[in-house]
Amino acid sequence: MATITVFINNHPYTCDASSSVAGAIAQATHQLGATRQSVHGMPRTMLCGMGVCFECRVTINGNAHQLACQTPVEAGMHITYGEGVNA
Amino acid sequence: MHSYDVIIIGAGPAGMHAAHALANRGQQVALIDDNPDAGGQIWRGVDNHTTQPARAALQSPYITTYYQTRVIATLAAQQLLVETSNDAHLLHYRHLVIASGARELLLPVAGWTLPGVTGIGGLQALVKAGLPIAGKRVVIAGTGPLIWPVAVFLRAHGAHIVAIAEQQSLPRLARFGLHLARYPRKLWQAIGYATQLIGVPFWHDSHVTAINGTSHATSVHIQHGRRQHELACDYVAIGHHLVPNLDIAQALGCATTPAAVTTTALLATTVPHVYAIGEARGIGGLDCAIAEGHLVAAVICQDTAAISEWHQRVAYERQLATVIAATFATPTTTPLTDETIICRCEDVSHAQLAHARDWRTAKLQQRCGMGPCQGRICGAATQHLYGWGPDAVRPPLRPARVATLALLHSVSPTAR
Repeated sequence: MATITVFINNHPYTCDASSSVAGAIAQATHQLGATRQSVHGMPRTMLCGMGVCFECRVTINGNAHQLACQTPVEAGMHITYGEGVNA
Repeated sequence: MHSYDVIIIGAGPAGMHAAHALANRGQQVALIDDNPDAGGQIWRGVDNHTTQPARAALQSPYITTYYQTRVIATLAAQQLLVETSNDAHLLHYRHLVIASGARELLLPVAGWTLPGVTGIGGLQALVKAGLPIAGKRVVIAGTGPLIWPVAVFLRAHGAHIVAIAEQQSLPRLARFGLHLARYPRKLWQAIGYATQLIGVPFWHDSHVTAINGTSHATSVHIQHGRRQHELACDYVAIGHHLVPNLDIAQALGCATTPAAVTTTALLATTVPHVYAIGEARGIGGLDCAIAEGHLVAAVICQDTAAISEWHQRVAYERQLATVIAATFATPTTTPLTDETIICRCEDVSHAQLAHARDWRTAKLQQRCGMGPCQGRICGAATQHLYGWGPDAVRPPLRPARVATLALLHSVSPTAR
């Protein structure tokens, strides 16, 4: 299986090269952790897996509100998620 | 501006087969999809599992593909404003084919906002995109024919399927099985799924009443007939069959019902030059979508022999769609608690919506459906829970960059 290295919350992480950003985060967290905090502070993460629910929005290479489930990983990509989440 | 004979919205099986059949007849086609690859939600990419025409479509010089591309606005004068991952375009069409597919109906239940709760197709999509599932305990619940192939898929990838909890009654499921006898290929498929799930507890007449956990789902409560079960798990995959994606059709002014874009037998919507195929025309499954892809190409190119051939095939496949709808399209939910979140984007609870008269007042007074997903989850849910109808669809259809909207300045005011 081909792998590439991305940066997830500034930590280098080697993931399956065919992953989406959502898949890479899931590989890094083992159990799917919260990727964002809801407006009332509740933990949330990906629900629909197909670009509908917008729950998986993360910051990719500095661009906020990107959908992790619809973005393929690229080598060197910077992924930031979970800002404000009390993990 | 780029101009095409036909623009197809949706690169799933319906859209790809339409594109292939149109390209074979010399039409210049644009194929648009918001995903990074073709194949739709069912194939998710194009490989040896997809059909030969679908693979050939991606090689055709007559077909231009636009991936990671969202329709932001439908304009007069047969134009679309679309946004790619780093750019935006105005596209002109002579004919427009809506092959926008379907999404899962995700209904609220206590605890459904916890990480680890996903749709059924949603969990499969996430696993295909790299989510590790080997050794994880998964409860699959809700209703619909999607449960079976997904359970088989997850098990093959090493998941431990704790239980399958289907809402429908056994007689209803048995009737569905009898109808499948007329579709031998699907019957064999169903038998194959059942064989591969030997040993997995299957409960009919079962409803999820609550999902527990603090930072992640840890267990699920299921009402199974008169019995209550609490099942420990890592993931809860819960979905209630599918609903078609209708917003682009509605933005164009096409007549729709909650279940489908309204069309003639030859796939024409109520708006000239606009056609609907596949799940957008009512949930009909893969073979139906493929047949309608062929048919729409024949209709647009006025190929009478092909119209007659594919029209019959579509009629045959649509009969099964009727049976699927009768079996699975009326899910039930257990009573909601006051605190249950209905609109996940804006954290609007069931109690907060108690006094809302309709979808519009819920939006205006509680911000229900006003968040990033623009009501794609809670709109279908409130339609189901409270009977609210959809409101008018307005651009932008998706969150868009300002630079994309600025492109509208190049369009004359009468054409916007």
